[in-house]
Formats: sequence, structure tokens, C-alpha cells
Amino acid sequence: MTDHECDKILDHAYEFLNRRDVTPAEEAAFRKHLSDCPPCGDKFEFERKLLERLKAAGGCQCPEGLKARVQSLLERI
Amino acid sequence: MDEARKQEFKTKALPLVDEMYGVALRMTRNPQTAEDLVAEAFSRAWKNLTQFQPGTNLRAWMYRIMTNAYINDFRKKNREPEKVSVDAYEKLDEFHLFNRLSSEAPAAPDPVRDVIGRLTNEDFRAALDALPEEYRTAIVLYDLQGLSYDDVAKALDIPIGTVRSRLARGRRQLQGALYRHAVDAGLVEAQR
Repeated sequence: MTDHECDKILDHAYEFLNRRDVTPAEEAAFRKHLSDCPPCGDKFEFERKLLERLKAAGGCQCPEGLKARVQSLLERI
Repeated sequence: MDEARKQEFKTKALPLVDEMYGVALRMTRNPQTAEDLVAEAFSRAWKNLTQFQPGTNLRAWMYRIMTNAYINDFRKKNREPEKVSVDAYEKLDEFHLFNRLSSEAPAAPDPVRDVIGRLTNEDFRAALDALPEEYRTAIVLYDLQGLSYDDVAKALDIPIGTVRSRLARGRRQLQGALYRHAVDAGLVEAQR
């Protein structure tokens, strides 16, 4: 596995992690690389876990009254 | 404006309140201001509904209105606009946290992932909230809310290339901050 190949793949790690902005062919190539290259697999797994924690931590409960507030706002305008 | 269009807006936009509040909270870092920002975004969207092109992405349009409201009105009330600084973080590499932990974490069955598991939600939130606003907003929209590059670009009114560079820089800074939280929590020993 050349460094260049790894860099190219890992450059798009977050697109694959988010499963957005990638074509099915790119995703297939990415998966193949990860299974062929354990160091990239470890890095990817680490980023996956990190993103998962970030999403969980960054999420929040919308206050009860906000939806009602917006709704009544739209009625009044 | 015709009733059908208003009704369509209500049906499609109201379900966005929850996630827009999440984004607003990370933008403003204040629950009350976040509520006001969401309400203001809806008010503006409603008044400018004729400008919305049916069939285009309502979500990106709503985020654009909210971002504009924040930049032009809400941010000014609090403080001077933040500047994105070119600082030491620029030198951080991709996968900064992984690379540092792999080389520095003490030997353990799974030292690297263990550190992520032991950082608290508060560590993650603090690291996110400490980012310069431009990076934070890009990360919240792309990584947390799941917008595409194109929709983030539309929401923030910047080119896709700028979205990508803000995301890359923001993630590096975020990882640098998480590393410091890991050091502070005693999960890794500080290294020069």
C-alpha cells in the first residue's frame, strides 16, 4: 500500500463516514482499501467512533415550547 | 400568496424546528438565544416565502435564512465578530488525535479507542463550542446534521471548496482540543 494511495483514501474519510458526497464506485474502492490496509482501517475506525461521540454530544433536546411558539408565530403573521 | 404554498411550507418546515434548534444552540451557545434565533428564522422565511423556489431544497434555504439572521443581527448584539485565526492548529495533521494517541498513549488493550470512550460528552461539547464560529457551523451542518457539501455551501453562501477547507480545519482544531481535554483528564500524559 503506497502512502499516496492511503492519503488519497483518507482524505475522503469523512465523506465515507457520513456516507455523503461519494459515488457507489468510490465507496466500493474505499471499502476495499480499508480491508486491504489495516493501518487505514484503524484510523477510519477511530474517526468513526469519534464522529459518533461528537454527534451524540452535540445533539440536544428541543425545548417543548419552541414548536408551539413557531406555530403561533406563523398564524399571527 | 396562495394558501397552498403556505400550507406546504408549514408541513415541510415545521418538522425542521428540532434540528434547527440544535444548530442554533451550537451557533449561539445559549439556549434562550437559540430559541429566539429559530423563531426569527421562521418569521423571516414566512415573510419571504415568495422567494422560495418550490422544488428546491427547503432545508438549505431555512439554514441560509437562519445563518444570515445570526450573522447580521444576533452575533452583533453579543460581541464583535470572531475572526478565524491562522494559528498553531494549521500545523496539525489530519487524524491528529489518532496519530498522537497512537504514539503517546500508554500500552493498554486498546489505548486509542479507550481515550475516545473515556472523554465525556461535556469534553466533546466544549471542544466543539471552542471552535471559531465559521468552522463550528460548517461541522455542525455537515457532520452533525447531515447536509451535503452543496447544501452547506448554499446555507452559508460560500463555495464548496470553502466548505471543505473549513471542515478540514475545524476537524483538526477539534481534535487538538480533544487531545488537550484528554491530557487534562489524565487519560494521556502531556507531551511536548
